[in-house]
Amino acid sequence: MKTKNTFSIIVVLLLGWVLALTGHTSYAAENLIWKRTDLLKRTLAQALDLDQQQLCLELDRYRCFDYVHQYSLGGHNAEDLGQFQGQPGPSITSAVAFERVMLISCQNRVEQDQLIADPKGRYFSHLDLTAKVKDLSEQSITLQAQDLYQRFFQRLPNPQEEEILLNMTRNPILQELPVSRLAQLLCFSVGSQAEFLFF
Amino acid sequence: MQTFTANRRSLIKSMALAPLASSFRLKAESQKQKKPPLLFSFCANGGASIIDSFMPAVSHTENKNLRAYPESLIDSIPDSPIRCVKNLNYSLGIPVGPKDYSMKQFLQSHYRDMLIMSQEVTSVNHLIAAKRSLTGNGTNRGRTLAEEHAAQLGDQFILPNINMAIGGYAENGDDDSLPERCRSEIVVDGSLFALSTHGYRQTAQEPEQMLMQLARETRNQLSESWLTEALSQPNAQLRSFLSARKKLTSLEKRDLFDSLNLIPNHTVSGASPHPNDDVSTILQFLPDLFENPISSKIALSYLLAKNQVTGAMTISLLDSILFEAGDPPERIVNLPLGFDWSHNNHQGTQNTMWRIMLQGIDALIKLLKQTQDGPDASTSLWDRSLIYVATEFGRSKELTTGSGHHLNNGTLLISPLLRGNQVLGGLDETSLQSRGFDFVSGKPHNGRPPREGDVYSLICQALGLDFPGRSSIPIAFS
Repeated sequence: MKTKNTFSIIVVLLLGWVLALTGHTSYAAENLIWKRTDLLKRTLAQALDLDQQQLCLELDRYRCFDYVHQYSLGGHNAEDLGQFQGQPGPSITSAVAFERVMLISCQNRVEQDQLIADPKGRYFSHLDLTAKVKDLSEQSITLQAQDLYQRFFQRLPNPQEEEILLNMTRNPILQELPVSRLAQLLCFSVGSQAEFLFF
Repeated sequence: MQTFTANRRSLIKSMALAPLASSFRLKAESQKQKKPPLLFSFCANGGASIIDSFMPAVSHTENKNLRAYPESLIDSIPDSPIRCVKNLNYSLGIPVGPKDYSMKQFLQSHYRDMLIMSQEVTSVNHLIAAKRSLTGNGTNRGRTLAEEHAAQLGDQFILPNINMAIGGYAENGDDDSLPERCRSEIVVDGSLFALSTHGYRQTAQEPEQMLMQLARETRNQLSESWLTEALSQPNAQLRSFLSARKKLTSLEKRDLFDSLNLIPNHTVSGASPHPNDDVSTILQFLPDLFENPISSKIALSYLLAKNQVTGAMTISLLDSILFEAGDPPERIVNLPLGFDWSHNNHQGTQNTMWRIMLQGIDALIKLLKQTQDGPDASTSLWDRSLIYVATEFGRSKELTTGSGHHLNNGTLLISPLLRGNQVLGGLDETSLQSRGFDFVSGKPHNGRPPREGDVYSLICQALGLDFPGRSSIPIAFS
């Protein structure tokens, strides 16, 4: 019996290792759950390596997750507002709020990076934020894309996803812009996928 | 295959009905072209008692132990049967100042549009009663008034149902078959709601539209394979999210940020300021717009109506009420439970809360009245508006310092869509119970006053919203 259990555990571990290596997403689609406010805040802070308190402020003043978009993102405030439950599912303002918190948090991450002198210590460690987009190598973009996917989804992007991101950076409208803008847009494009909002 | 063969009788029938059918079609089209009525549900959290506002009883020997008022504390105006209570000291005995808003001021300004109606509710539990006040105790499949409004008229609005209330007033109705778009969008802070109408306006280093378009297209391409797999299974929340994301573009196209912007000193680094031209007008009527959260909710509801964004707005007081009292006025945060502070101090709380609420409603009506309903219109927004003062229940009638919850109460409706300047039912001056009345003649009787469902039906009738089983109160219209 003991041998059988040990064997099962080894099989499961091996399978998990293989799936992790191949970048395969494993989930039961019918059981997908909306990542509501607090969980979204925690996981986004973790993905962007930012403190939860400094993650997102609207107009540099109002807390995104704890106040302005709290309800839209699925949370509720029973104590102050008599909201005893959150909304059953996302609504149109949920979609707006998700876009905003992702964009603001990504921009925040870029700005934090700009304060770090050592490039190796930066979040966008594969990008020179002071350069122009046209001067970036495709290899650095691919490496940054892989890093972003690891942080947001704990997996590597597949070749098709890498190509989509590379295609974006090749767009003429970006070429003369600073890489800091590209970093924000890359972060937004990856992080604002429904895959990050549902688990 | 089934083929349609017309016989002589059916041909004659259809020819005879053709003009009728086209007249129905014309009527339906003209209904659609007509601007939809606006519903403002103003929720008086905690139990606003009608006998302490517009249905007061005069004290005499038989009701001396009940909550009646001496004649000297009751105000009236010429040409109106509606009476009201004079200004009394605030809760905690804080004296009223000579310039403080009074119920009489409200009455003088709006008596022609005011309908006071006796009512008896079915619950004295705050959450349950609050919800019932908006669903008519489930009279229409459990839909709230705002949901029904959105279901019938919502295609004319991008956000048909906005709810700025709390507690039971902010709950959804119970009709699972209601289309998703009719559910309320909850707004916590009226001054910041503009931020919820656009995905990137006024964010730090606001990206240009074409950059956002590129980033979103990239995101959509990245998501494709994951979504294909995820959507192979039923998942309501994910589907709701994706449908909401599709609507986001049309919401952004309306570019509502400027027109709904009530943010004081709102610019962020790298973003250009976009002052809202309406703010100066609003400030004339709501001078505490930037300090008082209730004022910002009232202002937002006005802007939502004015910009034809929303047709049904629900506003409630907060659990902490900011008000100014005394001479010179001093700002006080008090009444932690709204009208329910009456448990501790009935008379002061009811008087204070009614006056605070009426002052806000007064400002809203004045804003609506001074807003022309379209460039060439001779009417104002007010001409198609209805304000329903919803509350959970009344308060106990015994003369004690504090009061409990009571089923018997009354309702205040204000609208040019109703026959105003009326008190329907009235009070039994001995028991202080509001009385029933004949729905056709208006004659009071000792039967049960209207229930939540009757009030719901009356409001729907005034707004032109029909539903199966709707009751009718003709006296409210003729």
